[in-house]
Amino acid sequence: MPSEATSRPNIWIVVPAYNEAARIGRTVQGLVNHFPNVVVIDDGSQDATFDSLKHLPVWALRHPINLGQGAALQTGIDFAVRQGAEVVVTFDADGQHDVHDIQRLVEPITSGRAEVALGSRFLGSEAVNMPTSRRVILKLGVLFTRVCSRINVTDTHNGLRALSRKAATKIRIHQNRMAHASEILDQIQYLGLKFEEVPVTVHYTNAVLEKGQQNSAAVKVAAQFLLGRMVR
Amino acid sequence: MNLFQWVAILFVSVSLLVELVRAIHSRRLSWTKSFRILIWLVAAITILNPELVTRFARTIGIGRGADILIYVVTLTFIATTFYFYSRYMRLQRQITDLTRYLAIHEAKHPETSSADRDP
Repeated sequence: MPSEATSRPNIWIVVPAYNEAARIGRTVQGLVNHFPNVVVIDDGSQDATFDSLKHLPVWALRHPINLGQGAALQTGIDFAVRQGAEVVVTFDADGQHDVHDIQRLVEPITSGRAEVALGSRFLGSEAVNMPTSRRVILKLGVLFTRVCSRINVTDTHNGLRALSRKAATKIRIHQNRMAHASEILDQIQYLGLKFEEVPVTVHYTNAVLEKGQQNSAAVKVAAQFLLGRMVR
Repeated sequence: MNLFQWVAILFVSVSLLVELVRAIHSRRLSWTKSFRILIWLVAAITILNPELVTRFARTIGIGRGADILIYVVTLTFIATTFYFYSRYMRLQRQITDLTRYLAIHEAKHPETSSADRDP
């Protein structure tokens, strides 16, 4: 049963999932033990991701076709806001995040200091088993974001973030695929939303590295983001 | 006239004729139709008298007629690419909105919906 302390305020956890049948059960089980409102968006998976949610106490949404993580996040955020969410937390399905970080992540929002709380694996030693190449790519991503979006953050592509209801309503993700992370930061800056970075742990297991974004995709993500800004 | 000019002028004439017949048939001459008719007319004139293009190129300081064609084709290609990319993005957003609508309206929860009883 979810604990009382963590069930208030009305926090909704949004988990986008694509072909995660093997891991989604464990990830979601860890979340529902602490939070009563979890929504999983199956982004047109070809495996049994959606079926594996049937017996879990979570809201299960399904995209009939695969659109991308950005689109799945926006679907989950829209749904959570409709359900009356006061805080929306985005959480990756592959188990790389730590459920115990959520309470610290939402604190700047519940205390009214910020509209957005961004998880950062670079504030302290919070990236477990991160390959050096990934570290370099992520640092380049930080530089790219600082130049393009003029927002001062230490981690640009961390899937663990929390949005107040106001921020969740104002931010609209148009980048369906992986460039959504840069787009969210761009909109935080453009909309003038107050944000804070919170140290979080990211676990790099072999499975996470195999299924996650390849380093070579960084150029494609940057190109998608820039094209998306030019052609709206 | 050489063989290329015969073939090209035949193609352009047929295209121009089709545009004119369509315009007369619809009894309405829109800006896009007028622009297409103008393009075919200019093409026909330049095929029949290539010297005109060279003279025009010299007038505006480009030099060769072939160069002006390269510039026009390049600019048209870039503009067309952006136009179709923008159309593609709009279409993608419409598909995304539709997919999102379906996903939200068919949301399932084991305690509040009939997910387990679905076929």
